[in-house]
Amino acid sequence: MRKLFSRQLVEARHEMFSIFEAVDLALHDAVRAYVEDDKKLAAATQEATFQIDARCANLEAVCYNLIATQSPVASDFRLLQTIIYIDFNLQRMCDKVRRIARAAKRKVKNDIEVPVEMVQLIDAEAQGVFRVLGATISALVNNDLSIVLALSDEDEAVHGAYQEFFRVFNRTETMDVADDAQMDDFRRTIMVSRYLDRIASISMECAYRLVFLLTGQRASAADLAEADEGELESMRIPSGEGVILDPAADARYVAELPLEEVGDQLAALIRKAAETTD
Amino acid sequence: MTVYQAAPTPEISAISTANFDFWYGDFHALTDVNLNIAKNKITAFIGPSGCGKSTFLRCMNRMNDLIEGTRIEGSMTLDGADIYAEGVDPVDLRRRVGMIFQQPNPFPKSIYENVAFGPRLQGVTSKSDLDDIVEESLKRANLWKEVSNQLSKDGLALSGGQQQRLCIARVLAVQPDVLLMDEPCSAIDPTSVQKVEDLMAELAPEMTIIIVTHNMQQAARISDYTAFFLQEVAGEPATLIEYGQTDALFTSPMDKRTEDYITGRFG
Repeated sequence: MRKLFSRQLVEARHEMFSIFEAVDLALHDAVRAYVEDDKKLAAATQEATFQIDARCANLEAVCYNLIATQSPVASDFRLLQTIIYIDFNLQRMCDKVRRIARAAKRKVKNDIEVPVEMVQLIDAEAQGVFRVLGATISALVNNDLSIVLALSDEDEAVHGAYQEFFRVFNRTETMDVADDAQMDDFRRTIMVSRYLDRIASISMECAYRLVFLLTGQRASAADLAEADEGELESMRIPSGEGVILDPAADARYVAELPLEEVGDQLAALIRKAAETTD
Repeated sequence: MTVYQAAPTPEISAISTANFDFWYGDFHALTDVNLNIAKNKITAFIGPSGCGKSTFLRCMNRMNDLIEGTRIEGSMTLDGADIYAEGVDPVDLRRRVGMIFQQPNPFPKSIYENVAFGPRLQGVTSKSDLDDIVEESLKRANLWKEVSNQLSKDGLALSGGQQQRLCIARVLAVQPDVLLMDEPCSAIDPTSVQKVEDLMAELAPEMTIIIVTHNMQQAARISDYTAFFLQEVAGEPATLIEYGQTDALFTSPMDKRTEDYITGRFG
């Protein structure tokens, strides 16, 4: 029975990574659709987010079912709590991705002209978000607390880009807006920058949950801002390493991500996994 | 080396041990057990079979004295007084530290006589006093409603779960400070288990309860503190591995051996 339960936990963990990968890839598509005015890609991305929602709902049900039937304790329980938490936040991120895809569709459909400089800023902000997501996934796969600590710098960069976007927006006076409806359309379109900023923040929250999984302690962003790596490492407790937590196996479920966004450690694992498969 | 997570301090403890070792003849069964059992709380002892948890439990009311060749080292105190000091009367100690066993063991007497047995030994002879004690004890054991009109019935004629609660009533009748329970629910049905667990929760505010259980869920459900014992090498003495608040031990055990045991990865 323990073997079956271990397998179920590993499968739930792999599904979480696979959904994370799907959200990340959908975000790439949504941003590309926005930047390149690709309505077809935007529609396909929107559709993909509904499928992700369904997978999230299913994963949540699986986790609650395991709690009800297996009465998990210790690292098993912490893992299920972590998966449920991240799963919930993946749904939030997916919702934001869908809004970006909708904004891309609206931009093309209503022929909304966003100044080139602002589109470029959104593209630049998105690159930062991809790095935050990649680092989050890398931290979760490698069970690496040092990546979690470094994440706030990445998030700061995204937040800086978001602030810069709205500074530029406020300076822009050349927009020719006919009426309130068109202004609303425009506003929804430029909210993409805000959605990107939120996605990065939510991704950070997912990464912070790794601290709970590996130490049993619930650390806030403020706690982590004051913590150093050695202190965090000393708080580690047994967490199912080698049984449930297996970076080499987990890496297979995020193998589609752009390697330059996931950091050297995870990129190496993905390459190794690909070689093994070949 | 024992790991402690928010374990009770001696100040709030009913029973405390320091560097406690126990031998069955030449066999060194337990070594270096240091723990404080919180007063008026429920403490669970868990661990694989043969890890010494029942042995340790029986040390608390000197039941092991009945086995020839046993000996201890270190100290064990009840409310600060050494349990093993010269002059301590084991019978008096067992009145203060009552015990419930895995198999219900009512005397082959009536329900009334089972409960009245202890008080009679203590010198209570008044019929009305005994009636009051029997009623009160059966009520505290949540058995009164089921047996109040059949007190002359043979205790052995009750169901397993009722027999176990009768044994608890028998212990309660002598008003112990500590109640030791050695797998009290392993031989009774789930409904009876629930009643015994409810009873433990009701008694805990006024009595220190220590339970040995193989049921992890039961330990997690009912206890305030949990102690994990383990004999790592056959033939070597067992010891206390981790001890602390139950919610912490079951969600974030700090020792890998505890983690592996409670998650079912060994044992």
